[in-house]
Amino acid sequence: MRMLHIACKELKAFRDPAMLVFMLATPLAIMLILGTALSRGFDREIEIGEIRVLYRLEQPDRTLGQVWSEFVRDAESSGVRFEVSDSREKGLEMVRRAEYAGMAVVSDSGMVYTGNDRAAVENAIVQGLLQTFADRYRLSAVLADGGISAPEDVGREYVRSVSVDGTRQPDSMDYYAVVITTMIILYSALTAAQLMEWERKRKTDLRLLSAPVSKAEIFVGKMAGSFLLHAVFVILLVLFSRYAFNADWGSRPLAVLPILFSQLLFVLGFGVAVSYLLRGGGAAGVVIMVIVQLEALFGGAYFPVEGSTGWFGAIAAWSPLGLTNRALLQVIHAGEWSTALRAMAFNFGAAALCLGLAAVIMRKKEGL
Amino acid sequence: MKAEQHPAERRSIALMLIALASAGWLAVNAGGSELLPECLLVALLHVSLRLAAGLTAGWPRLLLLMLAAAVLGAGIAVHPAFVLPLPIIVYEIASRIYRPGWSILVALAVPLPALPDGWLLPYGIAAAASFACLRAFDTDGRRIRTLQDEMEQLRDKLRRTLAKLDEMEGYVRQSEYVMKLEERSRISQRLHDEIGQSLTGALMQMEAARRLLGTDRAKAEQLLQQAIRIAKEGIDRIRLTLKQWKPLPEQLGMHRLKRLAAEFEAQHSIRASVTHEGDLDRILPIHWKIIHDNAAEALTNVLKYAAASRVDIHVQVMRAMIRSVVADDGQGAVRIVKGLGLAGMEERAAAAGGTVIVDGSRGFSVTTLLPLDVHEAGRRNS
Amino acid sequence: MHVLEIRRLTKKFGDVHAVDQLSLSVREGEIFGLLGPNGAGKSTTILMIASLLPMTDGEIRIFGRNIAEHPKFAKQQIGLVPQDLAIYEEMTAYENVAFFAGLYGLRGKELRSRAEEALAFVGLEDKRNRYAKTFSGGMKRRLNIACAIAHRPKLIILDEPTVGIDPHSRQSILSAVRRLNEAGSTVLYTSHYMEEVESLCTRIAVMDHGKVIAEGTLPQLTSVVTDRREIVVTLRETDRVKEDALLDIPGVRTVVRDDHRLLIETDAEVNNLNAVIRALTASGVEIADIGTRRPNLETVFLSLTGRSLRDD
Repeated sequence: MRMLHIACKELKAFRDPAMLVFMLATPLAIMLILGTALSRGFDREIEIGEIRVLYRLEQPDRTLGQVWSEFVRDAESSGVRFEVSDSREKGLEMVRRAEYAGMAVVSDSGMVYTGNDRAAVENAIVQGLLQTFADRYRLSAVLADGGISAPEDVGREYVRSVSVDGTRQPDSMDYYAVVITTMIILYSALTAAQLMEWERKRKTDLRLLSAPVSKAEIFVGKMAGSFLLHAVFVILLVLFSRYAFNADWGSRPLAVLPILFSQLLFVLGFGVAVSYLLRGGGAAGVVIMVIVQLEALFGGAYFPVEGSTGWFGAIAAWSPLGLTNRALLQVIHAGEWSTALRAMAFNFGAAALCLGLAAVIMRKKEGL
Repeated sequence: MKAEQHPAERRSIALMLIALASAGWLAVNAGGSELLPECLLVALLHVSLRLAAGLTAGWPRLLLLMLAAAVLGAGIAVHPAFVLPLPIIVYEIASRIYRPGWSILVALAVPLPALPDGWLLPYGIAAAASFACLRAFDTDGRRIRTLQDEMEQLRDKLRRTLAKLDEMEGYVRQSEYVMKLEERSRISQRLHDEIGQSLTGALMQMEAARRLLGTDRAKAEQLLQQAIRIAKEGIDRIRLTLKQWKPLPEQLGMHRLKRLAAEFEAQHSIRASVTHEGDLDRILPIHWKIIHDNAAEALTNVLKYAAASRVDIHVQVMRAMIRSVVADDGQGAVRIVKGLGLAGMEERAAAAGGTVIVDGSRGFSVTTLLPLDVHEAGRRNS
Repeated sequence: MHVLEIRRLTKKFGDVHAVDQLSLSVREGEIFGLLGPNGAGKSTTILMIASLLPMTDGEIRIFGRNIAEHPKFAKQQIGLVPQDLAIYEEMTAYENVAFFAGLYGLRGKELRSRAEEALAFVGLEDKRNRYAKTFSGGMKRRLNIACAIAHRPKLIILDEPTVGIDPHSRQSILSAVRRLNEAGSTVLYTSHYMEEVESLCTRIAVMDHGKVIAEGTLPQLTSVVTDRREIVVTLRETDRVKEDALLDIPGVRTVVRDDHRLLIETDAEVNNLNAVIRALTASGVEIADIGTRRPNLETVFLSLTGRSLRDD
């Protein structure tokens, strides 16, 4: 397979020690700095800035009411404050406006928890606590993800059993290990934009095009090689931050790889597509740099953006990087895959779009 | 391209109708005020499709289609009725990438499992109808394009035939000229023979008469009479031959060329000179015609483009090549666009196996190269 | 069998013809030279033969097959040595050659042995594991050639391979080309250096402004201009020269004195140098120096176009 041959060359040709150092050491350094320096400010956000949850008890029997009060008291000491709400509608409205992390409606037939899905970490914690409570009473916890949408949509109910890994809360190192890794993946858009320019600079594009390989084979081979190369970096980053910095990547660190790889594929495709649209290295590099920086900001690479409001929050809500970050955090800390599946679907879809676009332009173009 | 407009126009109208139908359906079922965002989405969709139809370049069109798809996606999130225009978008995108046949039905069937309840039938109908219509439009469009290509080819053929015709006419004129020359050489040959015969005969008689003048007067007179007779006959025959012989215009190509240069200089006050090098006799009449016509064309170009003060024509005969250069001292040009004049020069030269080189680095120079057969040479008259 | 046949090849960039109705053919086993000044269209022609540039019009056939209809077959037969270095400096010499050879379908053991062969051919076998970045300019050029020959192409195309190179490397490249030809490859060589083309190529096409203006072997080309050559004899004194004796020698046309040199114009085909020397020495003349001036390709080009091959 000539594509494999080209992919191997792509890997072999990447013998730039400066690049290797940059791509590994820099993110690790940033993780270390941000993870340790901001730890206190970080924890405060989660522990001391307590999580507030509304609840309603509907026709409870005496035992339920009693145990619930006990539970609420215990929860207070873990930093989660349950406040009673007089009406369901008002309560959900307040959840929607992010004044509360969520609302739990408890009865003896079950429990419905509606959470603001931008407060992923808070929700994860609350859900974990509720699960413990439910377990104690052998209720099946009925969880609903309401988010900001209209109450009617709560009709989509999911029955899930949620398993929470102890009560370990994500600290700053855990957070930054994840977001810095995804940010570095984002930066690989820059190298992807140079994919073909690299060959053009060395004039080897002449050799490639005069050989009996099709443009498609060259494109796929180079993309595959680039992907493999970056994938290895990602794995190294994950392992390093896990074993050297003790960052929490979940019980099975490698389970997050599909999400990371989906983002990698999207980012590479994006880089290549932009370079083809903007015809060449210079302009594409600048544009991608700007986009990457903005994305990193709005996606939560520098500080957590969950729960932000106003125009910043509005933009942050639509950020693809943010989506991937949220997905990763939810999988790691709450074992929940719903956001992850959405993120992967988006990433793969966008990747397909970008790669398709790039392929079409490449075909029509003269030369690589 | 006009051909692409019509099917695309019809497509967007079809889309508009479906969109309006679904909007109407919404109005009936969902109640008034919520309709505004949907309507905006429909309008946006329609606009982007119209724009996409107007563009023929590859990737901007694709981009707009993807934008339309994104808008549609947003629309579907708002209300499921937006799945109805989906088949059209999918078809459009697919046809940019490859030529979709029945395989597109598979792509259209993909959203089926994700449709909300009750939408299966409307979607199916919309998909089937869109597919049928779009296939028909596509076939139309393709047929129009094929016809256009054919027309282009025919036009090309016509042009080439006309050019060939022109060339043939040139040949005919050339052979006429050659025939004339041959005839003249025949005439001159005959003249030569006639004069030779007559003069020799008459001379013999006169010599004999002179010798007999002293001895046999009568015989001498007889011989003189014969000499006069032969001479008279000869003169008659010469006169006859001369009658057939019309005045020759300039035979030698070099004179013709010099005349061309002189006329040019007189008419346009640009100094024109003609020089030569090598054995001009080796140049055949057909070569002279090409040299002369190309020089005339080159001079016209000098007038038009060169802004020159002098033109030099140089004809050089090498061992196996004739080189004729028309060079001016004007502004020249770095890049030369081949116009009809140049193309004509090239075709003329190519008819004799030669070529024309145009160089603009130091003024304009038009060089006509004509190969010479080393053995045949131009010695047809000896 | 013609390795390469080009018919009425045309390439327009906008309105300008870079290559204009060019036709030529290259036979198997030839070293075919494409000579012309900068901008004549040599590189453009090469690019079209290697399928790197689309043609505006015309047809190119390799071993009888149209390259537009059989692109992969055509590319498989060609090995291209581009004018600029086209190598990966980040990889070793062996890795470079092996990579490009692999693009032509070579695998496994065959790939390894052919790559080694190619490196040995250009004299880089002992440097096979060194990074191309560390090579000198001449070595990089040799690697440039090695990358083109590992798959044993039937037609090797070199585009101005000696521009800006020191004389030593130039000689090694020329000798490499000869050895490649001896090993069975047909070579297409473009250059604007007359001496190289004269010494190397079996047949030559002279190009100008996108067209071939003359084609043939070196003697055929020079005989287009003239069939004479000139023997220049430098003497100590010229008074003892007997011109009649010289003019009697078969082939000699004219004898002209120029200071204390004799310019003897003679037919190019006739080998009469010995006779001239004998005639001169017989009359007791002392020859200080003797040489032959024959028209070279520079002269041919100048005679046909009025310009020189080099624009410097």
